[in-house]
Amino acid sequence: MFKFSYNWLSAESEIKTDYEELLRWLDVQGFEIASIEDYGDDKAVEIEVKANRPDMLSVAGVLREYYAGKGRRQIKDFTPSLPITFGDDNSVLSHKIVVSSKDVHRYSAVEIRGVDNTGETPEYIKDRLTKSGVACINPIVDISNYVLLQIGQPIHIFDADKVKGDIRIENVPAPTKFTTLASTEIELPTGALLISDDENPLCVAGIIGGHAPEVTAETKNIIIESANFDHIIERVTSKKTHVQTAASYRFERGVSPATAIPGALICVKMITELCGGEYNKTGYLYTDNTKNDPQTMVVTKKRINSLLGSDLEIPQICKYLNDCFFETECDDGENIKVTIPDFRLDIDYDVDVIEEVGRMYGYHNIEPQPIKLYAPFAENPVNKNANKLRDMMVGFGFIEVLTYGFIPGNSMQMLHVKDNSEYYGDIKILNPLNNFYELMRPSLAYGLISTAIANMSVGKNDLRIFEVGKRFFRQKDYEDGYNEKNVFAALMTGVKLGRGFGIAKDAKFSVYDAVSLLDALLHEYNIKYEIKPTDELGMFEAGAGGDIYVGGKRIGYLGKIDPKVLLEFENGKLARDDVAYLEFCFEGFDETKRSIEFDSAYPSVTREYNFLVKNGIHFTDYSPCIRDASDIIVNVSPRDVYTGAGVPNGHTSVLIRVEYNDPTRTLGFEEIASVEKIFLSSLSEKFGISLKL
Amino acid sequence: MAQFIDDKKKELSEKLEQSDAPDKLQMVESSFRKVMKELFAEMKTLPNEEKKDVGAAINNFKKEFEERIAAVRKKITEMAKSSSAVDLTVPSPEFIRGKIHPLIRVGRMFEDVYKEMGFSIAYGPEIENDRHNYEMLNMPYYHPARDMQDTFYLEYPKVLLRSHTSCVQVRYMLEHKPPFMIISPGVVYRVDEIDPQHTPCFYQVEGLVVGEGINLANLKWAVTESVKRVFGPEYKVKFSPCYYPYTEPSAAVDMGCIMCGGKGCRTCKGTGWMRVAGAGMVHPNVFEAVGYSRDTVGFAFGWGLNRLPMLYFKINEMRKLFENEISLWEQL
Repeated sequence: MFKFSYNWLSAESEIKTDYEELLRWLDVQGFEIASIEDYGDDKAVEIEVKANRPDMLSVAGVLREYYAGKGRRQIKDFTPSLPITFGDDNSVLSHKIVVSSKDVHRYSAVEIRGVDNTGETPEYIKDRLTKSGVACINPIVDISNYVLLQIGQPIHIFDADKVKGDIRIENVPAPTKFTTLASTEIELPTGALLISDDENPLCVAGIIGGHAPEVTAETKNIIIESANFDHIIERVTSKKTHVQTAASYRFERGVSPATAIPGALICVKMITELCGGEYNKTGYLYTDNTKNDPQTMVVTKKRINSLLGSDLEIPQICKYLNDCFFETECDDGENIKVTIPDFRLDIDYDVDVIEEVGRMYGYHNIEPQPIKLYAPFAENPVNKNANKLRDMMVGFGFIEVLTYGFIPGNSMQMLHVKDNSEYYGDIKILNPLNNFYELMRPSLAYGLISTAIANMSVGKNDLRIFEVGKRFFRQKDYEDGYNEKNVFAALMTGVKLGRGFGIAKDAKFSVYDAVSLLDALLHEYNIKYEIKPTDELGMFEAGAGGDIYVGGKRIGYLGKIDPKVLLEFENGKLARDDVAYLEFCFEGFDETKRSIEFDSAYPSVTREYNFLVKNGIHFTDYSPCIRDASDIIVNVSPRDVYTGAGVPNGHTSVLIRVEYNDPTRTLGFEEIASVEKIFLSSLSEKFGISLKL
Repeated sequence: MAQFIDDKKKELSEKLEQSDAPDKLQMVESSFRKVMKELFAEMKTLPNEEKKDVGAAINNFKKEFEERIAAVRKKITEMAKSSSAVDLTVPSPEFIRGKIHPLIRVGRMFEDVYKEMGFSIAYGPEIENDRHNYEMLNMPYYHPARDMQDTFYLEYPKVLLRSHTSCVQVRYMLEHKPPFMIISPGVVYRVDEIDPQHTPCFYQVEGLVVGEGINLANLKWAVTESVKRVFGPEYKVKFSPCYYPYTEPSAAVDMGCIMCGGKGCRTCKGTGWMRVAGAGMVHPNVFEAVGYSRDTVGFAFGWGLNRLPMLYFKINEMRKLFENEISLWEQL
């Protein structure tokens, strides 16, 4: 972000500026106008500047961009001509300057003696600083901020009388404490650039100053520092210390080394004009010679047009680049030698130059062209299955929900999940929003139960909801030690079929519906599954939960949520009906080809049998007894289960429908009766199951 | 004879007036036919000079009465209709409305459109590492653009929750050679406190097309075409220069505001445009990082999907997308 006064920009321009035109150009070039403050005769405009264009973080930069749109290729020279020469003798100032870090690219320093900092900052400076959102402190400090906003060069000014001995710039060898001007104590990471004198740390280079060399109204002698520090160390230090200032914001994005000396000179001129004093005609300059010469590269016309999908000619390309202050040279009508202006630190490759051509040409002038590319298409089975499951669920009257991938830190305790279970989660986020969003979910159960209860608290008690999403778990030998799977989960509770229209009494969801749902969904994939009752998970009521196995592998689980688990949730007491839950991983599901196995020309006979079954004996255990009794039994399906009046304790009454058919003939009643006899006696022998009379 | 006709007429008229049901009307009709038979038989016995007048009178009677019967039948049928015991305006509760979440609905519209264009769908993990999420996307650890995507970490700085689905594209490129056209839809995470207009996770659909001859004009086509196919041909799309470390040149994509159709309203802050995607030509550094030649060309785009379903379904708060108030989703 950069905020500036329009009148200031206008005053620095050598041509007449137009406010509306400026805003339009900035907008077209992707510098979004974040805000405009209206001061009547002036406007403070704040623009969004992306990380690649730190050169736009100054009035000079915005003016250059405006000129680019106007095709005027030169802005005024802000550097005053002063009789100061810079040299590498580090003892020309009252304090010796010792640079011993590779992270310093430039360090220029000038000394002024005998300044009077007791006066008032001139109105025009105050006005421009205030509109740019910078507080006014005292004339010298205000001038340093002014220069930063004017040309983008951060300036630091020391009170020379408060510095004890040499000024040293070095990387700290170990984490170091530092107290800032704002009196907050920060810890600098190893390698941070610290400026110190013989006794005290003075400032964190390019980021923030300390109290020791602070410039105040009483200050008489000053050393102006206009330097250039490496963007990486500036970024790392600023991030680690959580200190971001106007200076650090610019340094971490990149400041041109070419503005170090101009920055110092503008400061000297303004300060001596406003506060008096005499400057030292010899300044100190340390340089590591990075980016001293203008950078050049060759870009071809072919590459430009092939990347943009345009048909631009050399003169046009060169004009666009020249308007952006690039110099161009082209002798052969194809290869363009481009010289990059010193303030454009973002131009490293030919594509960066091509973007300049593209934006000056105007993206709106590039005509859309259909893609002419043959790329092989591959179906994504997870995507396909997810959508198939969704569509089936919609058909079943379920509503899809989406919950966050992170759940409360204590959710495993709430769900009573045992810590040795595969579905126990312990992957925590280091910087969660709060402990409510701390744990990467090991299952979708928390999200669906809390969604259900939240809806019950607004009076919605009959619910059928589902979610398709990821569950996360640890896996030592996998990538970074984490893995995740796409899972499907459904929750149902309350009335499934209300009374009326032939139904005598509300029919409510029970755990059997979770089984039925699983059966319906997996049937679509022709997948045979097995449910093994288990209390391992802890989330289900004892005896009412089980694991789902396919091909010997556990893919999920289902059951009736333990009412005690529901009570762990806020408003959990609102859940008065059974809550049935189903979750399974659907990765690897495949719709295999299937054929219809049974197609008979003769009518089937169906019979229903009401059995008395001891609890703990499961349908999948005893139903083979029936099926295996004869080839004419083609289907055995449970129709109802019932416990209560008329059923002895420890037993369940199960209604089972058996379908008899022979594809070659019509069946006789005697034949059916004899088959019945076979399975009735085998049921009774093997499982103690009898017909309920 | 005339008297006789009048008497019969009167008798039948009384019966007809009392007919308020099909069976009663049927009785009247059969008496009427009997009377007619009787009258015509009677007429035959008359002298020839009288036959003409009487015949005309009988015929008039017949015609008039048939019309009256028809009128009554119509009335009875209508009455029957309006007093039927079946009220077809009452639905039974048998079939329940299932619904797909609004984010997924809009996401699927995009998926379908891109599949029609020949894109394949690629997926990847939500728990990612710094290498795939940042380093290989031309964002080294010190890159200021990382500020744009404040990240959740599981292990600092190595393991994180992906802040975009571009890492899926990186993984795809590591495993495949061009040419290809893929989209990578999915959940992404960024540190953002939950309030009406912010959530810490949202949906993205990113696209990547790599192959010879691919250019910015193709990118404009793919993005513009998808907007027109998903939202309608009347929607305009605007590209302006932007910056992403993983694309160069880069573009910001705006589309005509869904709420006002581009006239300017509160939602689009009066501009008529909504920022919906970021796009650009893939940076050579990214290609180099995945082991491709720097001369490889391709484009990438990324849709942020939270806002679009909000506008599409007129959902006023972003966080509602994850609050799952069932009574709202039932209205979808």
